[in-house]
Amino acid sequence: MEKQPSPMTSVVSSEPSESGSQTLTISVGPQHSGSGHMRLIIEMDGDIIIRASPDPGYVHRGTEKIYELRNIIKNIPVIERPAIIDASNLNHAYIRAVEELQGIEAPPRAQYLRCLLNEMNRITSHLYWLSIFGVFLGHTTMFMWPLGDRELIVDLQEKLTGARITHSYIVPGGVRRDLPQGMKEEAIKRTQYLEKRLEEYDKIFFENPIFTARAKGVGKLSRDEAVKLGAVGPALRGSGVDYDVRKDEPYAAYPELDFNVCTRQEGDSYARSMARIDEIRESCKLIRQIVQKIPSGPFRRKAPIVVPRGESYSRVESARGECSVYLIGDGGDKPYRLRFITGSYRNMAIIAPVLIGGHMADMPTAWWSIDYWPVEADR
Amino acid sequence: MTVKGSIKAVADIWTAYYSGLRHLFHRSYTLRFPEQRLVVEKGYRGRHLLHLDRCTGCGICAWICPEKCITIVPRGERWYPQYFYGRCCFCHFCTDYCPEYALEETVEFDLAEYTRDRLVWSPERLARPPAGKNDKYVFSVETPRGASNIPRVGAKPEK
Repeated sequence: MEKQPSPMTSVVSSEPSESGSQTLTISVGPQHSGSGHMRLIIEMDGDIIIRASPDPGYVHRGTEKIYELRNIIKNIPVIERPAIIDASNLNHAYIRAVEELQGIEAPPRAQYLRCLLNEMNRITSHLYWLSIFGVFLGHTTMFMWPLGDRELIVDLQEKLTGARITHSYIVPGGVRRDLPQGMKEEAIKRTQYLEKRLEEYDKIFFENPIFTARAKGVGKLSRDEAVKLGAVGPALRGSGVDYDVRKDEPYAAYPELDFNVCTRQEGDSYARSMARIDEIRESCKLIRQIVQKIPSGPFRRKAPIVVPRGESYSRVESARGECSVYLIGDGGDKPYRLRFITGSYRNMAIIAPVLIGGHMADMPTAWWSIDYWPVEADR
Repeated sequence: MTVKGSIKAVADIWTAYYSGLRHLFHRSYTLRFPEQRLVVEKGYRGRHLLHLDRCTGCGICAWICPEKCITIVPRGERWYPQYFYGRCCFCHFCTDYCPEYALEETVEFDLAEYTRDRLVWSPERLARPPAGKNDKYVFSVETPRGASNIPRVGAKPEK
């Protein structure tokens, strides 16, 4: 039997696996050393990664059990907690499952407002990722700029919902507040400005030869492998698969909106990164469309506070990929069971194939291009 | 690398440097908090304001609170909510669900205290109107000059 390196030791020099070669096993994380709050056990032969196994679970908080102990309204702030920078998308998936069981549908204006907040959240989530991606590649300006520009959109979210990140905005039957005065003009102005800023990002970072040399051809994931492993979100679209829940199974106001699914063919770190940047551009267009096309009418309708007996399933496209909720109701005000799967959880399968075969020095580029969010995956 | 490639790489690096250095002459994003403060717009979900005359002590706020941070406490003949801000997540479901409109959201957000017991807000403390803060700056976006915080129109200049 092959001797396994001890997972409990941080640095282990194992027995020679082949004649003349010796491998080194190192542990990246779980203290945040560029891994997020999880651990990667990486076995290297020289500088080449020959085995990588993710070791998640360090931020598991048993949220699925917590959901069973609270009524459907009290669940809303908790459902947002796994990914506070992408709170409204997770909340939307949950509320759609609840509404399906209750047999109600939000008014059209509420559907548009939900999409507006979701798109703003997608932008803030991608900008947050970009700043982390930048700082782990040693580009401090790319850490500062996206976080500063994120403020533009966070400010808009605050105007719309009253809270900066955990909005608790989407509720059964609609949304909690109507579009405030002046929001339309401000949204158009800020998204146009953000698009101009993205051009500057290209100049300083994405077309920078130092970055392209580090990202292009690194962490390759072929189209077939991405499909086979069940990757979702920009990680899948970076491998050339044209799959987006917003297009393939449209929900809320997305059928009425005009947007493209951003794909890249290369399947490397650069392609996955650029798929996200393209998505920011599409989201800016979507925000402008929504504030111009939004229909008038009520933004909330009365909804019961019970979950009727039955089961429902809903999925939305969150910033990190498909987020799905499976809900079983037993007639009470609490869910009988709520299964909650997020994009990061599915993308855990592609961590090893992306890292194996690459250099250790390329690990941060490949790893962060997946945008794996341990809190969201562990839940 | 070819000669053409090398020239392109040098040009691209220069473009990257130039686009960064240009920002030395842009206004800054940040403020020197707490000396300089941003105007928080009405509608922001800050701390709660309790209208003692409207509150009936029904306890719906305590029932809907996801964090269980509200306790209903007696004051003479009547009962009022008491908040523990160490737990509050500022979802303001209590404000939404109050049938008597006795709760209101305020723009006061800096609630840090040195001791834990100071985070418990009694009904009397909740009934106080929010302290007037010297909010002078607003967030502004101009395409040529960038996003920054500028003094509010009518605000007195700083000494």
